[in-house]
Amino acid sequence: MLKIFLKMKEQYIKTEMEYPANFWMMLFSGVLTRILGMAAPFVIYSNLPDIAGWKKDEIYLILSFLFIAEGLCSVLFQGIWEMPGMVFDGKFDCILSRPISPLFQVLSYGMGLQGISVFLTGAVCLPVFLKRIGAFHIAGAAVSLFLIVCGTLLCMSVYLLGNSVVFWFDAGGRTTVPYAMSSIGQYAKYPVEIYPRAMQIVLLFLVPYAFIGVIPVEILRGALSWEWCLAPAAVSVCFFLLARAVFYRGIRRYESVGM
Amino acid sequence: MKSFMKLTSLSIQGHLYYRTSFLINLLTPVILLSGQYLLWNALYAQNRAADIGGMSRGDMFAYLLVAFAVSNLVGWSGENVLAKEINSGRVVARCVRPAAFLVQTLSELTGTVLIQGVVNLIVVCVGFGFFGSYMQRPSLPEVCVFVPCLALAVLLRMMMIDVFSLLCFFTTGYLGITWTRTALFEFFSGAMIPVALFPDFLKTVTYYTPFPYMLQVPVAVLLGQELPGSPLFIFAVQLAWLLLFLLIHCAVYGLARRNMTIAGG
Repeated sequence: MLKIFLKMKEQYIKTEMEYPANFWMMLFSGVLTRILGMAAPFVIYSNLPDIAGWKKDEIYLILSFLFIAEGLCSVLFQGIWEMPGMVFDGKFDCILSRPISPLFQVLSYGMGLQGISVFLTGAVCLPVFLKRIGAFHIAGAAVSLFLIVCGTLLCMSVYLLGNSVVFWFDAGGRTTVPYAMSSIGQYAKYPVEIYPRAMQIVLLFLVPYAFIGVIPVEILRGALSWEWCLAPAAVSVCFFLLARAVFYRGIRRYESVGM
Repeated sequence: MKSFMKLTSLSIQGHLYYRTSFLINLLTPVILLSGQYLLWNALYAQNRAADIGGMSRGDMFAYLLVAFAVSNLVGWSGENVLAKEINSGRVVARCVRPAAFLVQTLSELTGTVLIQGVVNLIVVCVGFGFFGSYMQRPSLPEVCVFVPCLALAVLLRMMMIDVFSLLCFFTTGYLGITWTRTALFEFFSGAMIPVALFPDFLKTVTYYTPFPYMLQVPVAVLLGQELPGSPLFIFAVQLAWLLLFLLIHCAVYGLARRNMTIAGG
């Protein structure tokens, strides 16, 4: 399975490299969007000394975790975002007729080229800000790596859950629900405790982006004990199982072309 | 004008066809507005001073509400129609229709803006109606200057979308271009954070770009907030940027038409 997955990614990147202008534009857009994303906390911190006791470097570390998870999701699982279009155009028929798991095929379909630069931006920033908060050591690096894996799985599950609504709504391949869900992640750039209880519940349990960036940084800055590493792992596995169940439930409603 | 109206009505019909999604798509930006409100409310709550960057809580909440309405006039699907057509080759239909290429783009975008504009206007009226006492409310003279300023801002944004979309003729893909445009617009227009909060050097740079004239400036005109100049100066700058975008459109479209190869010959 892994061989097929990598083969599909290889073929896709070969195809994209045939169009160099688009390839470089995608990489450039990935870096630009993230740099401007980092400029937002910069502007806030130029007006405020701290946010609920969190320093600027800690916020940038949250962003680094988010960038790595989003970048990896984009490179590895971009097919999730293609799913609404596939369902609307009837291309999903091909997915169902092949003798491989439909979920596996959706995940391995396509590749978000901008994800490469998003991932690299996060990968460059992570050690810098780990060092600045004093967590740049072997244990810190190992924990970060583990939390990145959990964060990527969680990010992928949220995308899958959001895009699976296409099976229920006559979206014309352009529903904004998954975009709205991923946009909620914007608010997980800041410490959860500053928000009212309802928003905390959303960020911790409904669209649990807090487990991708905020909770890992809480662990690394010592505000939470190391045992808390199990929480992102548990949440990401639970969310993946939920997203998988919703995806397969949605397939039952699929009516081929003309849906 | 007749073809413009016809194409606008077709665009509206296209958006209204999928009713459930239409309603969901109209209301999902409200979730983002709620998030913005909660974030800034939290920042003001934990800030000891009464204001942030010279903006009081009332100024900020009014800004967020109006900026949301202006920023979300065009959604992802609406602004990418031309880019997707160029990407797929279906753009050839536009080139042979008996209406100017730019008129077709503008009429389609107008259809999108009209629908979303009505919904956003309702959201703004409800917002000011229910929470007006917590926000800075605009006066009648400010509304009178705001209306033409907003009209020019929307036209300027449509022209920017058109010019960026035309670049797809040269890249064969549209996502990179769209994300670049969206990122630049969201940050420099003040959709993400009011330009008034930017450090001085960044504020100066920002006002040399067209982006704040698409959002920050009209909103600041309405709410009587900090402006880069008098209303006449603002109108002049908006018109100058419109003219520049028009010239770029003519140059890029001319170049694309000369080099265009339609499938089959």
